[in-house]
Amino acid sequence: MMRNQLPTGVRDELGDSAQIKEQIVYTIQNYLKNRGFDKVITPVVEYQDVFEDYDAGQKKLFKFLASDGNMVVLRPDMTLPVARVVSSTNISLPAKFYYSGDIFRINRALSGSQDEMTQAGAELIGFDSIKAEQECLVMMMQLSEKLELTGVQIELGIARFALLILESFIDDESQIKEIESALFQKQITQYNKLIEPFADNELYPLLQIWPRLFGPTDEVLDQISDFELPAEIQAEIKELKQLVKWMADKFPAADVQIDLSAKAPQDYYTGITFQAFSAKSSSYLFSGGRYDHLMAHFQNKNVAAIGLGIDIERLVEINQAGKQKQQRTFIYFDDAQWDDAEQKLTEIPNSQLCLADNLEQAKQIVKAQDGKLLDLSGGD
Amino acid sequence: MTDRIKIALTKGRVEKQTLPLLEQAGFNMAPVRDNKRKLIFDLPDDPYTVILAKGPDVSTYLSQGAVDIGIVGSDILTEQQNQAYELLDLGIGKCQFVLASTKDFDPKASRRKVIGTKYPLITQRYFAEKGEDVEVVKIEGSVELAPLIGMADAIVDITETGTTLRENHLQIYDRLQEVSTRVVVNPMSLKQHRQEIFDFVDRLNEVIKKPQAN
Repeated sequence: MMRNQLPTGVRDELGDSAQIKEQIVYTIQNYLKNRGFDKVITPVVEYQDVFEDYDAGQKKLFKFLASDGNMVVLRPDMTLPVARVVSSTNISLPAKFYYSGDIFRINRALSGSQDEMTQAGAELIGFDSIKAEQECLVMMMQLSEKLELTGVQIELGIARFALLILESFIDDESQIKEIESALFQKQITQYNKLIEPFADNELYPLLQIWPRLFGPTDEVLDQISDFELPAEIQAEIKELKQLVKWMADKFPAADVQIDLSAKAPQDYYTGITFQAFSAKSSSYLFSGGRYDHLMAHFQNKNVAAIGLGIDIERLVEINQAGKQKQQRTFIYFDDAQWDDAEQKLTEIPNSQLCLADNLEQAKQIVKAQDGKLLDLSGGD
Repeated sequence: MTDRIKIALTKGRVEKQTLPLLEQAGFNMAPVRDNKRKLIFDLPDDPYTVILAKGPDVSTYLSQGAVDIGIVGSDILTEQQNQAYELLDLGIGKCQFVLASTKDFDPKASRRKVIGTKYPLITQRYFAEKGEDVEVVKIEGSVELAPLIGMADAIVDITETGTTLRENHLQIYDRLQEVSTRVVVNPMSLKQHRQEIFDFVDRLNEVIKKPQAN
């Protein structure tokens, strides 16, 4: 009998954690609204085609057949649906949107991972200026403060760094993929074997240190300054340096790092990527980047765009850790005291009307709930 | 108290073979060696906490971020589709996946074979690559029994020397991937504790690069 059970990978949320989640989503949405972003709500169900060709489409998805015979999925990503909306409606660009909602991905069963996750975020579509990257960084910094995160590290990257470097001296696409995958997964033994054939290449010293090419900005920029990198990547490195300098001026206290050894957070990112985590988080809290080629997935024209996703589940986790459960006050009152009771309810934080018919019952409820009793009746 | 780096070490054979390497790398492993029942140990001279766990759990703990570093066999990493960074091959716990069965097994027989294994994913991948569809039966222990009692046509299992197989009159029909013990790291932990984790990996790497005395 499954009548009172949930499938693995999903969960109910009650009380504190549900309220914290609601509060975090509210803070973020309110913040983005006040920055002049427009809200967009897309359905949970989409055609599978929307996500095809991208990493999000290759993950295990909840799928079923729509009545028209096409395969539909519970959305595994929020950016692709927003891009679909923009491409199929006559929205005049540039435009800024924000969203929040649940995404669905099937994880390994019984691994403790959740298949339904709440995400919020912003998409800036039709902006090719570096000011768009800067606005995303400002938003990450300000939201971190509003959400009271501590030990926040900002991490910058270049989505196609590995691809452009490897393409400059390897023609075989499958070989590039193999090296990329070993690099991104930091499968060091395998990686070292794969780069051996290029020992004579002038970029070989870079290949050797590549898996550790992340850390404080000066350190990483200093390391790559030793190499003659391919021309195709120079523009992005220049932008990266520009952003590093801008962050140092604008947010001198911020802890900014660079990672040039990692896979871009999403397959559709094409330019600068930015992520953030806090000292306590078990994964990235913010994650975004430029995706100038994504719109061509839905229409015949590219549009410059940039997005920022926010992992609400992780934020709730951090927020909950170390929070003590607050004792609730139960207000017991006589029928004649409704107005008094209502007044107390507004004055006392974390209070609730006790609906018991007599004081004895009220005491039992308070005991069972481990709460505090406020008796207005004068012990009837 | 400062944050300690949590290391999940696979209990049993991996633990036995890894402890000497850790000691040669200068870690004081006395608490782990001295204790028979405890599962969590703070190392006295380094900011590391060692946790003893079963192999598949090491992989789960890592993916949930409950531990920072895992020391575990590559057989488990592959079977569990591990996403953590694999920073070092310790070169110990070496063995190999094999396809084995009784002497009358015909690998070319044209029917859907039944294969017994502890490693369904690796088995499915192996036969899929050969373009063959098989029925995989998950077996929890003593996989060698399966072909002997007619449970399966053949087995996919790991073997070090082949002794157990020979003793059970099983022969090797094909060799699949090799297995060894790896040091794996949770990707987020590497960002948060870069120095400490690289220090751990580098110290171990120095030891395994040196030619061993025995």
